[in-house]
Amino acid sequence: MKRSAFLWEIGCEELPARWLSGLRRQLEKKVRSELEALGFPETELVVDGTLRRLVVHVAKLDEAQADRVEQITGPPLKIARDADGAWTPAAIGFARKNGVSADSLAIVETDKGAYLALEKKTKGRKTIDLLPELMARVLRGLPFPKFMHWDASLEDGKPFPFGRPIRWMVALYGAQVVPFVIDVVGSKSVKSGRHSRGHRFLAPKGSRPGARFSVTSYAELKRELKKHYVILDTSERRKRLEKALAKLETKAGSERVLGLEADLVAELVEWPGAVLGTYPEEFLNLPEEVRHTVLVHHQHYFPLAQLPAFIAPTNMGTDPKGNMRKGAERVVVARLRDALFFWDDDMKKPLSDREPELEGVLFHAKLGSYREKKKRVVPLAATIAVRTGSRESLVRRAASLLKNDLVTGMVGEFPELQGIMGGLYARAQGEPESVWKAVYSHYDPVGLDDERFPLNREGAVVSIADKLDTLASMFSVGIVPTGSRDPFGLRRQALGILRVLLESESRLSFSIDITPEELLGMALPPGEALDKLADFMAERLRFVFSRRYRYDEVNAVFALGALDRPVSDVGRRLEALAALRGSGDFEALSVAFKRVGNILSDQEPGEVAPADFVEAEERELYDALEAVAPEADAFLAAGRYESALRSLSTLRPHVDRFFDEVLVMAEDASVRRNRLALLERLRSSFGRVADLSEIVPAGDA
Amino acid sequence: MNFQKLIFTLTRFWSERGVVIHQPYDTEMGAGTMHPETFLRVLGPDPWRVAYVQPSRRPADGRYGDNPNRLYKHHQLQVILKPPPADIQDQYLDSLKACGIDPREHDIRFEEDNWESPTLGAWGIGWQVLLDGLEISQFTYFQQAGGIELSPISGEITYGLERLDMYLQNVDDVYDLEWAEGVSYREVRHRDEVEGSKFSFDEANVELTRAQFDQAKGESERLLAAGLVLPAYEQCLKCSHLFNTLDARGAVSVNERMAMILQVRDLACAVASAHTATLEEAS
Repeated sequence: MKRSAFLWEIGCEELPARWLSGLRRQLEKKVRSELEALGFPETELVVDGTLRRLVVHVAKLDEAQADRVEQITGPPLKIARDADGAWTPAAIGFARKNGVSADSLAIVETDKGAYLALEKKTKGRKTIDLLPELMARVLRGLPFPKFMHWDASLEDGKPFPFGRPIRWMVALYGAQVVPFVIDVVGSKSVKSGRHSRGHRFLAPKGSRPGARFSVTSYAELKRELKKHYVILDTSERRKRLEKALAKLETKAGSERVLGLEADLVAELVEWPGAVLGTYPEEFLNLPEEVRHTVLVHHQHYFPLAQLPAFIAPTNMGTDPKGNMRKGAERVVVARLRDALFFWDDDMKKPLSDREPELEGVLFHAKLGSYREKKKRVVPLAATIAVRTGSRESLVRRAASLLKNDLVTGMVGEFPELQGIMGGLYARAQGEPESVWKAVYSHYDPVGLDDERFPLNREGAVVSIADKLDTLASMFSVGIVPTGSRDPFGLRRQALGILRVLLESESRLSFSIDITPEELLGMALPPGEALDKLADFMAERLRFVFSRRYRYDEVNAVFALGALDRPVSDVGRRLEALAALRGSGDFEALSVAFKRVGNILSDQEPGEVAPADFVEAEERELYDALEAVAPEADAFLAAGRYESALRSLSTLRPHVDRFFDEVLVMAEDASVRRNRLALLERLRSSFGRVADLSEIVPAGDA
Repeated sequence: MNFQKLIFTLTRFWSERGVVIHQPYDTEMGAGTMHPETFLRVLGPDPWRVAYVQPSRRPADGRYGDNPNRLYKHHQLQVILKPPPADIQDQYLDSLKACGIDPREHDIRFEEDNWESPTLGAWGIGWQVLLDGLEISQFTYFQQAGGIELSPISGEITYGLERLDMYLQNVDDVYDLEWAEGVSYREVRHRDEVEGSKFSFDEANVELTRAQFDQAKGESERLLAAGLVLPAYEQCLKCSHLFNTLDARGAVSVNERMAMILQVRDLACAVASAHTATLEEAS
């Protein structure tokens, strides 16, 4: 069959850059599934795009669907004929609906009995006719984070909300235009055609910026776009931006500091360029965090390390008159001047004196102000400090300073600096390092992927106390996340607590050995709220680990309890399981444990009596177990679960031989009981790390 | 280009495109959006094209005339195109060209920035327009006003005149702007800023302002019941400004704050419904 290419460009007003990577993915998914549904599987599909255009290209698309034969089932045979054997209205109706006579219908046997049926041959439709429907479904199916009404409708007459208005559309199948129309109230309809548009402001010599140009193929579109100052290929756009940035880094003799993703910046532009800007040295007196927030969050500029300088990306390639550099510098200076004003002004008042002002900052309508929240957090943090062997007076001091920065001018202007500013003001006002760092980092980490983390032990404690209070107080007034509704981000708060408990050891070299259960008990009295919060935390804990470990490993460890042991302990057990996973001995042993579990399910084994062993293999297993037990016990006691499992795994040959040669359910009751006791002993040795019978062997998964 | 020339240039530009040049509304307000020529005109089905300058008071933004960028009262040039033409962005860019900005020599961007006004029950989708990194305009496709879904939608362009002119005149301090030939922004406006800030931060009589708020609210409701939509809306605008004054004065507690915003919003939504009803009756 003849094949042609399908080329589709959706030209938009500027889409939000942060949507683009998701949109390209969704677009590809939708087009692929629509093509499959139409009977075009395995197509060569490319999707790319910038903030002003989304492009789809299918290199080879059959010119029509294959013809199809489908069986349509009608009424059951028993109601299809009357007593005289004549066709009933049900049968005649079914035949008529399908345009055939009842006599030509077939009878098919199904699970539910005999039915009338007919084979319907459907001729495959032409691709050029199918594409407009596909396009409409794809466009309607794109899941924008926020939709916009623009008084547009498609041919079905129904409203067509989209991310931003569509202003042009290229739609070609081979050399033909695929007809597609978007009607817009009060303006001309958008009709598909052969014409694309380039960069908003840049154009090749002799043509006007924004003028249309026609294309016949994907290759030509890409080529023409490049001529018209648009790089369609996202990775190429990134590379070009990176190159421009690297050039200026060399020129400045410095490097970008982390904070801004070049990938995001590459989505903001179609023709990347960059300019190097500087600001007066006096602003170096402002903390780096503040300067970088101005540059990164407010301007999408890249700060340079050590220097009062930055790189501002542009959408223009070059800066012929120096306007872009000058403009960027002016904006930055104005912002920094504001920030410096706030810094000086905020410093006039000690952070610790701001507590009463928190009365005016609402935490939640049912829970009062942040001042009230603080009254709960300080003693909670102190309790956790005492219980975990942290320095109570420092924790208490840090907790008493939390949130006071919410009423500073700086945080009013730059809300994303909350916490950090508190820490910086505390530092500048002479608080000890343990205290200011704790305040600085007490919001961290939020959620599962946040790379930030409390900077010290006191920070870990106040971070837990603050989040725990948020959860406990919200649950106590009935605010419980359900389904997709979690308006206060409580899931992320819970994940934050669990991550501090789990990761303090690897990140800060100390462990907080306290169980979630005990923590929850510090924040809530027994009752419904506590029960709900415990369920919630257990579910979050499972979630934390399910991202890092296989579900059966999580089941195996959680079978021993979850909230009632330190999170880091649960983590070490899972680490051990995951480390041994895949080793032949471990897999074999877990199979054996399934058997042991089944055998023991309704038995009550007693003590092992070595004298009662009959077979050599059972004695060998017993002796081997006795031999490794002291070592394994020592590892267990030290929390070295992997080593414990490894030493127990050396039992595998003995276990294998035992099952090969020994009949557990022996005729003789005392022999049988003794064998069961041995298996129980074996199970309990391993079972102190995890319930291995939960492990699903590789072959069964 | 001095401040008044900028106003002339932009209003002329839009008047040449068939836009009605309206005048500022004579009641205090925080933004050009609150002018009835925007808030009420975007409701209902009839096309409308209008532009005007609106002095916009934001009591909490006052800085006693000391800050080079922040003002108690700044000027917005507001354009409403209902429905928005397909080339609305190009028309906007042409207006910048009319001000002497050659887009080939600058970096002009449309960056995502949606707009929402809780007190007006209004929101829209759009961008901030950045000129070499400086926000010079807000560009919004109105989706809802007074709690009512709009159809057709309106395109709203709001130029921050001081910002834009500071860029054009290459000055870093708003008071250094030339307003008219030989006359500075400072001469025209500085005292207004100093006294406006003193008034809203230090002097506004809290009890009186509170009482005025309650009175204006009651009056708005009464007028609405009497079928006088525009006068009712004026009283709603007064409430909004009185609330802003109380807020700047530090006289609004947290719980009260939300409640007051909701009261103004309720008024605005009631006005919008009543106005929509009169439009339907008329048609």
